[in-house]
Amino acid sequence: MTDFPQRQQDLLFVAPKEAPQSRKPPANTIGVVGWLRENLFSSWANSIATVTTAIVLVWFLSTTLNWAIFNAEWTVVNNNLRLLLVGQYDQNELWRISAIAVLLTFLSGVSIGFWSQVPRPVFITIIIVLALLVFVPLISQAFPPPPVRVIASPDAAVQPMRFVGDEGQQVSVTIEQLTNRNADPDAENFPGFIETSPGSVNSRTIWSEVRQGLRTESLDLSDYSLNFSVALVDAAGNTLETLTSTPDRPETSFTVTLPETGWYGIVTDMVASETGYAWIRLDGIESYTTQTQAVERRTERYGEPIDLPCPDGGTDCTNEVAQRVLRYEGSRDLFDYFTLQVSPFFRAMVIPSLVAVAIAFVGGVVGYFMKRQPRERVRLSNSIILGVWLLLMPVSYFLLRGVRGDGGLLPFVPTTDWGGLVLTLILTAIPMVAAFPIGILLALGRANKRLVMVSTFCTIFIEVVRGVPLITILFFAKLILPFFISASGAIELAPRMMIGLSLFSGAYVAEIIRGGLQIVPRGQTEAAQALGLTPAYVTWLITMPQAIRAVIPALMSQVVSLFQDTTLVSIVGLFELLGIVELIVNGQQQYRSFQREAYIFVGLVYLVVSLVMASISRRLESTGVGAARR
Amino acid sequence: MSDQAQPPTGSGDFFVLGTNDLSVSRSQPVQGSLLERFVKTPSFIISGFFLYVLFVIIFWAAIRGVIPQGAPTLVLAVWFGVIATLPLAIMTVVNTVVRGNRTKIPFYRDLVTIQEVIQLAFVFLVISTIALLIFNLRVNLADSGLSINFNVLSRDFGTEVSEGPDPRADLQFLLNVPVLGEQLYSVPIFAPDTYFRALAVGFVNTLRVVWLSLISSTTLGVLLGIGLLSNNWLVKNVAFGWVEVFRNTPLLVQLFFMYTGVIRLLPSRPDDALTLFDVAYFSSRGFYFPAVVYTPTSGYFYWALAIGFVLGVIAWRWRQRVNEQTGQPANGLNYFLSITVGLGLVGFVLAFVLGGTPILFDIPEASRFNFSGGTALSGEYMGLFLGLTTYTSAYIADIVRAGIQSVPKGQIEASRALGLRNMQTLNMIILPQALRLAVPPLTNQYVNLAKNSSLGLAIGFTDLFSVANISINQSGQSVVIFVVILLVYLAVSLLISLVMNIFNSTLRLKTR
Repeated sequence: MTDFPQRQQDLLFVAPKEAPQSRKPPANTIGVVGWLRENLFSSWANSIATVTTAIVLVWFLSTTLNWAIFNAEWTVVNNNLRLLLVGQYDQNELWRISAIAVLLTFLSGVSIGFWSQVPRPVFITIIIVLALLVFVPLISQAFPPPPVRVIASPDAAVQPMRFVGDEGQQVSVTIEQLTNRNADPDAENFPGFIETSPGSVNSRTIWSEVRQGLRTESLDLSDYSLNFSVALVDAAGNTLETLTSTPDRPETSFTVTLPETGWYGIVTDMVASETGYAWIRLDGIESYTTQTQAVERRTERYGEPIDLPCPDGGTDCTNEVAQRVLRYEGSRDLFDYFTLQVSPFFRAMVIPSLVAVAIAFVGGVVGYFMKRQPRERVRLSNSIILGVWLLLMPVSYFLLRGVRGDGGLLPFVPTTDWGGLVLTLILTAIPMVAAFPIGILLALGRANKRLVMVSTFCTIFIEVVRGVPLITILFFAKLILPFFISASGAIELAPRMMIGLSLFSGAYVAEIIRGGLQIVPRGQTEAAQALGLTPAYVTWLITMPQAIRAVIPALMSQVVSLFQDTTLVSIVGLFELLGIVELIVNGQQQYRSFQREAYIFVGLVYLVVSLVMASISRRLESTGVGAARR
Repeated sequence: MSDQAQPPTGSGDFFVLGTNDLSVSRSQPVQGSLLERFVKTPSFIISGFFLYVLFVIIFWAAIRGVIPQGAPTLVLAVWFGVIATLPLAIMTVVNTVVRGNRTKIPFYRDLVTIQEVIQLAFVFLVISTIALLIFNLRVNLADSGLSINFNVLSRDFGTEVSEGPDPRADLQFLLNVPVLGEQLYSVPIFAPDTYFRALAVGFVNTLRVVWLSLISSTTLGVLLGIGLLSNNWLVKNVAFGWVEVFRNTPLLVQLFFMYTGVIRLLPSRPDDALTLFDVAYFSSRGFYFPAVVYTPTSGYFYWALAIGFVLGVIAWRWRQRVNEQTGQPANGLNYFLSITVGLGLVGFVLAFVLGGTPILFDIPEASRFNFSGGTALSGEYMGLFLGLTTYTSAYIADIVRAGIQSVPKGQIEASRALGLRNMQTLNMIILPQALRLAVPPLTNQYVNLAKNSSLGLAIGFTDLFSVANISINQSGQSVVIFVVILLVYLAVSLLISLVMNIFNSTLRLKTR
């Protein structure tokens, strides 16, 4: 430092002993405040927009949540879970759907493990959707039908009820005392439910009085003296068990293991009417859905339903148990919302989802080991997995349908009984697979400028199908298509709809693939021709693979839109996910006022599945096979 | 590179200099006289072929005499195919012979011949299959007592179409036409209460719901699209949520929700209806709002307004030309507005002076059981309108976003550097370019909207498709009605495409 000339000394910079005070950015440009200023209040116009949006958003959210938590009746979903998932598929044959679901889940697992380069979300989606489906019988057994509660009061007779029970099924009847929730907050059997049976106006009016009394604590429940008996009778009219409630012994119950499969009845007999009210609670009884249909089907299988004596001596007073579904009334708090509305749904979902994930995991391990084999074996397993995927569709269709006539192990289940999410998935999968070859052929035909006639025909077909609404094509498939083949129109409705949907999405797929063909550089075709490949080989080996790879994201969006378009078959008369909701809300009177909840649930199902598929499509666009060779 | 832009030199020269795209060299001109060239163009061949097939169909009854009587439909269909493809086959043979003479290539090795034969086989197969299906259809429908009868359109429809123009009233004026009026009124197909009239009313209903939802969804979609790119975090995410939710839920679910979950839950009694300053009412029966009533002097006002509008448009275009030629500011909108509004005001004052107000509102009144006065949009209409608007707006928002994003960022920065204000940048730089890119997908969405309006059937709106559905159920004439709605929807789709294509061509980059 010593001998530098003065000029150089000036240029040297010597760090000061104390570091200068670091200059911090102004406090209002960093942190939460900074973020807010930058993103929400950067200008006065922006601030106005923020405040307006916030007000609307808060109003909307508070109204919606307030309604969803404190007023909405989600039991319409919980009680009809099986219908929503599998429709009116024969209950004894549900194992077939489970088997297919297990197979699909396992195969998805294997595919994840085996083709690690295939985007996992594809299979994860499949597994998530299947988790809703797997072990549907398991759902219906692990999640018993909600207990049926009927109010017994001195003023209204309890009408007899009948149901079909299976051999070995456990049915229990309990008499519960009504408890005033306001007086006794810890009470389990608070009067949250009212029984709505459309036939008995009497009991409804009485119960509304009771409820009013319970709410205002004007009803004195300590004076509990209802004398009556409840009896379980079998088809022959023999009493299996009787339960008598007296003022001394108010709460009792019995559980019966049913001796054989068939009709049973529950008959109540008032011994002495004094004051007092009680619940008769029935556990383990399957509640049916659409009454007449359910009764018809049970009659077919188990013979004529039994006639039970009417309390007033009249005739035809018997209710199906199905009609008595419970509805929540009164004020509700957050705790009730979770325990009564939300938790039944998720309780039903937990086990199936875990099982699905476990199966997929096992499949993944299997796939992983298949990948670690010598090369020839890997190639073999590759084609095996592909083959099984391709075989799965016809196999599951056959499995679901069964064999006509004496089916033996696989009795025939007509497609009219299919429904719910299962039908939606079938109506998406089969037409999409069928649309693919149709689309390729149409695209090749249209893109071919040499064969003018061929290209004209293909163009006309594509443009006509794309120019008319899908619903016209479905009506065509429903009303006209069968007459092309026979005078009786004997093809079932669901396959007809599949044909209609295939033609429709075939036209759209054709346009997508034509777009893909256009981006394959001409030089590729010419190089292939120069190498001496015939036109068929040029298409099969050179242009088509590149074209399809390029349009995979667009094809995915087509799958999403087909998935949404399947809702239209509900107009034509199939009970897929949306159609089954209409069946539920129109067929079961007690749910008629809860259409909103049901539509919201179905909308959410569509939303979630579509969002996942859309995100896969986006991923493919940026990183996946679609982007690989562009 | 500049070579590419040059127009082709010499008249017969189809090569463009500097292009390495060999495809250009393929399109060699067809040789021969003008007539020969015309005859060989694909469009001539195709239209000629279809004309011929039409001819065969029309005279099928006569041609059928050739074919043995009582033949099964399969044989008939094959015969039909043979006769319909006959000229194509003759052309193929002649072409092959001529080409064989010229090129000396044996016909079985000539690629062109092979292609032509494949094409012939394809056309034969397609036509025979279609013929087979249609023959089958006729026989099968006749067997089930539903034989196809195109006269159904002039038959009595029976029920009333609950909504839309009154099919009886809107033809009444014909009766006043002196000579032909009465005859026209009684032409079966145009007569009131026919299937044709019912379908026409349904069609008007479709148009009524389509044009309004088209406007509303475009407005909402553009706002949302701009919102998607807003630098306001909240606005951006709300717009994003809207788009994702409404795009990923099926339209039918939205319609059911809007109708049963929103419209039907409104109070149904007129007394309880939600009201807007006692002028408009929302109830589950529909939306009631004031109607504009014609007065004796309305004519002055409306004519003045119409003339003002036309003159305003002319003035706008004139200003644009002035702007292009001289660079003076165009101010087209100002000219347009001042002329239109000015003339409208003149008309209004004139009407007022000559005899009372030209505009009169008929305000609906809620009584205990019904509404009186005003006009109404039914609950079904509102449900369909709401559902279509929310659904389509989500798609349009995404299109607008993509269009705006396609404008290079440098352009926006450059316009800022030039000192343009935000609105000016949006109006003069971003939107003109974004619109150019957005119009083709927008066309698609508009066509989709028109097609989706057919879902009104599900919530009970009597659009074209609902009326068609009723007609099919009543008459059993599925084929006839189906052909009609097919043609109408195709026409609507084509019309929208046409209008949008014209709009598109006016937006296209014009190089001077």
